[in-house]
Amino acid sequence: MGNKNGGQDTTGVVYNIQAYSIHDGPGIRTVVFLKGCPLSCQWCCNPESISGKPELGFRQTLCNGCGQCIEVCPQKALSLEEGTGALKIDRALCDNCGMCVPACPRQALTTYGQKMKVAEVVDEVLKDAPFYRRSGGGVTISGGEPLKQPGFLLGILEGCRQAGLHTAIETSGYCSPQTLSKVLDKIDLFMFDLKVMDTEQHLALTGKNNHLILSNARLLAKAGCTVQPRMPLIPGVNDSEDNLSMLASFLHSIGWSSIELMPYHQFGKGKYATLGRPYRIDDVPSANPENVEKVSKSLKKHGIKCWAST
Amino acid sequence: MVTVKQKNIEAIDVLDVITQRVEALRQQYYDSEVHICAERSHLATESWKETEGQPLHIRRAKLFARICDETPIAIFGHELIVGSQTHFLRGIGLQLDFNSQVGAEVGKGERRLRAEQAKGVISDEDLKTIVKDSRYWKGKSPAEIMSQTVREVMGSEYEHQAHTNYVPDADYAKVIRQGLRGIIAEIDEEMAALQFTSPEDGRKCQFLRAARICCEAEIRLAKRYAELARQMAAGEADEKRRKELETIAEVCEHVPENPARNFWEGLQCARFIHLGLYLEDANGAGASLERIDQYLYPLYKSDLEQGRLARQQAAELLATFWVKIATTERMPPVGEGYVQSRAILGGVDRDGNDASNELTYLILHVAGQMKLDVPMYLRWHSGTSRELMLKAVWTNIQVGSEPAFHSDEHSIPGLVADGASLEDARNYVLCGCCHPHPYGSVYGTVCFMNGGKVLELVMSNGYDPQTGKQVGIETGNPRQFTSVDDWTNAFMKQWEHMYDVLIEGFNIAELTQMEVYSQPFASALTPDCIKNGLDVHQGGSRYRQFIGGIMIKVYSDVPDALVAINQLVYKEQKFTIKELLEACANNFEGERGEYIRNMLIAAQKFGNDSGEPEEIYRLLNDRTATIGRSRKGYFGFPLRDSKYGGAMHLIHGRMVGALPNGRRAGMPLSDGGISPCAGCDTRGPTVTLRSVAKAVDFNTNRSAILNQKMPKTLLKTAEQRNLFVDLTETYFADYNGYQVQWNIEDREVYLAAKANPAAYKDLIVRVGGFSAYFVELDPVLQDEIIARTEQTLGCCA
Repeated sequence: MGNKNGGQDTTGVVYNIQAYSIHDGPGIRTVVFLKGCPLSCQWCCNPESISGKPELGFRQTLCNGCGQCIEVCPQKALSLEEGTGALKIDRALCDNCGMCVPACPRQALTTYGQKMKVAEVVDEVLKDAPFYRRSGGGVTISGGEPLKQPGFLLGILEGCRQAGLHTAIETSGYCSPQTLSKVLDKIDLFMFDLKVMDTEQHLALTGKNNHLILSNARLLAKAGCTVQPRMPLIPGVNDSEDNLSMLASFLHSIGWSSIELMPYHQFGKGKYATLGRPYRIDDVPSANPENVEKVSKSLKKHGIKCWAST
Repeated sequence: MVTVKQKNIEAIDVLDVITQRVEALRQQYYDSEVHICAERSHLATESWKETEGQPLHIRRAKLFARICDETPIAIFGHELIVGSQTHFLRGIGLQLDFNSQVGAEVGKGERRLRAEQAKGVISDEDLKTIVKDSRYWKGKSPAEIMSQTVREVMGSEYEHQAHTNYVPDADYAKVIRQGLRGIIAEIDEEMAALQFTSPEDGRKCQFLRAARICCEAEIRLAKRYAELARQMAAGEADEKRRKELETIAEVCEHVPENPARNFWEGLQCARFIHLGLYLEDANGAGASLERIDQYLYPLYKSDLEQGRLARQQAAELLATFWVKIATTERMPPVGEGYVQSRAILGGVDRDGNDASNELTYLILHVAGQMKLDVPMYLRWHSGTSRELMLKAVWTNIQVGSEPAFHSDEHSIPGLVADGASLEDARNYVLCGCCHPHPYGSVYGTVCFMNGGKVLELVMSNGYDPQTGKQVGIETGNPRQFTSVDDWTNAFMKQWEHMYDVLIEGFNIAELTQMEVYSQPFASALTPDCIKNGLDVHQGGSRYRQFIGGIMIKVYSDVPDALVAINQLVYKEQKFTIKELLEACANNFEGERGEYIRNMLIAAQKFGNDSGEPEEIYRLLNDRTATIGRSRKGYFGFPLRDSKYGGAMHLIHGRMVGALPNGRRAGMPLSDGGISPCAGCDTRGPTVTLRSVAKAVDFNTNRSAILNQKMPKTLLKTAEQRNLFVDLTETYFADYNGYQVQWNIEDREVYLAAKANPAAYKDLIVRVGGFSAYFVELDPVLQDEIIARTEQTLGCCA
C-alpha cells in the first residue's frame, strides 16, 4: 500500500464512498468503505470488500452479449458462452486490470475498488461538511476491515479530525492491539461487531478465531472509548440461547450494556454473482421480526438492552 | 407570531379526515371523467357579439357577467363547499376568447388536458358548438392578434410562442375581510374622485366601471348557488342533508358579497374567488390559492375559541374544499404549459416573524390524507419549527411529491433588491410553477428559451433540421471547432441572438395584448389596480417589475453534451465531430451510432459534483443571467433569469433532435429548472444538492426549480425523517438553495426498474448499512425490496 505513515500521500484501496448515509452513526454521514478484510464471514453482504485489491464485477442484467470487452482483454479471460451467448469471465485468468470496464458500452462491467490517496479521500468527505454540521453527523470508516489498512485509516482520521468532524469506525475488531492503540484517540465512536462467542464456531463461520476480537473489546472498554457493540443476527447460526448468554456475560464483564442487532438479509447474494463467487449460505433465511423479538427478549432477560437496525 | 401548542399538533395528527362524506366525495372525483364543455365559451361568444363596438374593459366585464349569470350550475352530493366551472363535477370551459386555436384543436379530436397528462370527453352537441364558436373567433382572438402583430412587425419567419395568460395574485385576505361590497365601495370612491379632465380619467372610468360589473356579477353567481341550494333543500327528504343545503344557501347568500363570519364562509369565499378567476380566464395558467393558512386563520381561530367549530369539522370542511380545488381543470392549446393552483403555507409574516399557525398543520394533515393532485408549497425560513418541517415531510411521504419546499431566505432579499418593499416581499406568494411574487404583483405572460434547441442550432450552424429553416445566426461550422470553448462561445452567441428575437417578439406581443385583452375581475382583486385605475395587463398592480418574462431553460442536457464532446472528441479522440454530428442526425441508429451513444452516456454528467459539468453549467448560467439583466421587458425593467416551467421539458424535447449527451430525438429534456438529467445524478442527495449550488448563482436568478428523488425506505423512522429535514435545511441555509421538490420513490419505480434494468442503472437500494444497485439484485430480492416499500408509515414524527 505504498507509504504507510498515515500522511497525506498514503494510498489505500477504497471501494465506495457513500454520501447521505444515515444508518452508520449519528446524523448525516459519509461512509468510506475500505477494501480488504481478514475475515470471510459466510453471511457477508459486501463480498467485494473482502479482497484487498481492485476486482472486476459483472452485472449480467445489463449485458447484451456484444463482445466488445473480449477484444481488449490482455489475459484472454473473457469469452461468450456457446449456445447462450452470455459473457463468461475466467476468474483464474483475470488479473483485474480493469481494461474491459470502459470498453463495455452498457456499463455491465465495473471495477470494485480503486487506489486513492488520503488527501483525496479527506477532500471528498469534507465536501459534505455543511450537512454534517447541521445534523450532528460526520464520517464513518467502514470496510472490509478498516484496521487492515492502518496507515491509510490513520491518515483519513487525522484529516477529518483536523476539520472538526465527528469520526466513527465500523470494525470487526480483528487487528493487532498495537494497531488499535494507534488510532484509539482519533475515533469518537466505535461500532464493534461481536459475531459469535464460541471460538471454534467463530473460526468455522468467519475463517478466524475470536481471541483478538475479544481482547480488543476489553482494550476499548478499559480505554473508556465510546463503543456501540453490534451483532449480525443470523437465524439458526448465532441466535442460540448459549451464544446469547455468553455474549451477555462478556458484555457485562467489560461494562457494556447494550447491543445493536443487524438482521441478516440475502440482498448481498447478487453481488456474489457479479464476482463469480458461490453464495455459501443460500439455505439460511433472512431474519424476520420474530427472530429479532426472540433474541431481544433473551438478551433483555440477561440485562442487555438491544434493538434492531433499520 | 403564533405559537402552536404541542397538544394541538398532536390533536391534529390523530384526526381521521376521511369521513364517510369525504370518502364519497373522493370516490365521486375519481369516478368522474373530465368533460370538455361548450357552455363557457358559448356564453363568451354570444356576449362578445352583442357588445361589438363598446370599450374593451366593458366588453370583457360583460362577457364575465354573462358567464356568471347564465352558466349552468350544480351542487353535487355530499358537498359542503360548492362552485364548479361547469355543471359537471369535473368539467372545463375553453377560452376561445383568448385563443381560438384550442377550439379548432378540439374539433380535430384533441382531448389532452393539463398540457399532457389527462384526457377529456366531449358530447357531440358541445363539440358542434365549440367548432362553430371557434370559427367566429378565428383571426380575432387576442392570441392570434398578438401573433399576427409580431409577424407583421418582425417579418414572417418569426413564430411567436408566448404561453399562458396573466395569473392574478388576487388578494383573498381582503375579500374575506371586507367582502366584494368593500371592494365595490373602493371602486365607487375612485369613481367619485374622477374629474374627467384628462385622458387618464377617461381610461380609469372604463376600467372602474368594468371592475364594478365584475364584482356585482360574482356576487350574483354566489346567489345563484344560494337559490339552487334552497330549492334542493326544499325537495330533500334526508333531514341531515336538508340542513346542510340550508347552511350552504345561507353561506352563499352572504359571501363573497360580505365579510366572512366564520371558517365555513371563509372557505366558500375563497372557493368563489378561485372559481371567478378561472371563469374569467380559462387558459392554461392556474390562479394561486395564495397564503391560505394566513387568510383563513383568524376565522378558524375564533370559531375554535368560541366553540362553534371542532377540529374534526374544520378538517372535513377543508377536505371538501380540497376536492373542489382538485376538480378545477384547464385545457390550454397544444404546446402550451399548464399550471395548477398552488396553496402557499408557512413562511414569515409582514414583520419577519414565523407566520405558521395551527391551520398550517391542519391543511398539511388534510392534504396528506386526501392525496389529491393539489400542489402546495411550504415556505421555509430560518425560524421554521422542526415540528412543522416534520409535518410537511409526513405529508410529502403520503402524497409523494407535495408540498415542495421553498426558501424565504433566498426569495425575500431578491424581491427587495428588485424594488419590492420589505413588507410586501415578506408577504410573497409563488405563482405559476414556482415564481416568487411580492404582495401587490401579478404573474404575467411568459415565454421560454429552449437551450436544447439552441444547442441543436449550434450543431448545424443556425439551421433548424426540424423545420428545415435557417432559424438562428451562423455561429460557425462545428466541424472546425477545436475546443469546448468554441462550443460554449457559439452556444452563447446563438443564445443571445435567439433571446433578442424572443424578447422583441414577446414585448411586441404583450404590448399588443393590453390593447385587445383584459381581466377586470382579477384586476379588481389585485392590490392598487383600483387606485391606479388600470387593468393588470396595463400595469395596474403595485409592482410592474415582476410581471412576465422569459423562462430560462438552458437544460442540463447542454452541459452534459459539452462535457461529453470535450472528453470524447477533444481529449480522448474516440471519434470526430463529423462522426458525432452524423450519429445525432441519424438519431444514433446503426451499430456505429449506438456505439457513439453508449460512450456519450458513459461520460461525466452534471449532478455528481465531478467538477467539469458544474463549471460549464455555471458559465452558461452566469452568461445567460448577464444577457437577461442587460435587456428590458415591456414595462422597461431589466429582466432576471428564472429557471422553472412545469411540463415544458416534454414539449421542448419534442422539438429537438438527438443531442451529444446521448439523448435521442424527441425525448424529454431535463426537468425542473436546474435538475440533472433523469437518472444522471447517481451519488446521492447531498452530492446533487451541492452540484446544483455550484452550477447556478441563485442570487442572479429569480427561481431555480430542483426536482429530486428520495427512496421511501430512507424515511421509515422518526430519526431518518429528522435527517431528511436537516438535508433540506442545509441546502437552503448553507447553499442558499432556492427550492426543492422531493419525489418520494415508491413501488412503481422499483417495478419499472425490474422490468427495464438498463434505464434504472442508478437506482440504489439501501437496507441498513448495506447498499447496492437495484439492478444487481436477484429478481426474488427485487420483489422483496418492492414489498418493503409498501410498509406503512406512522403518523408525523
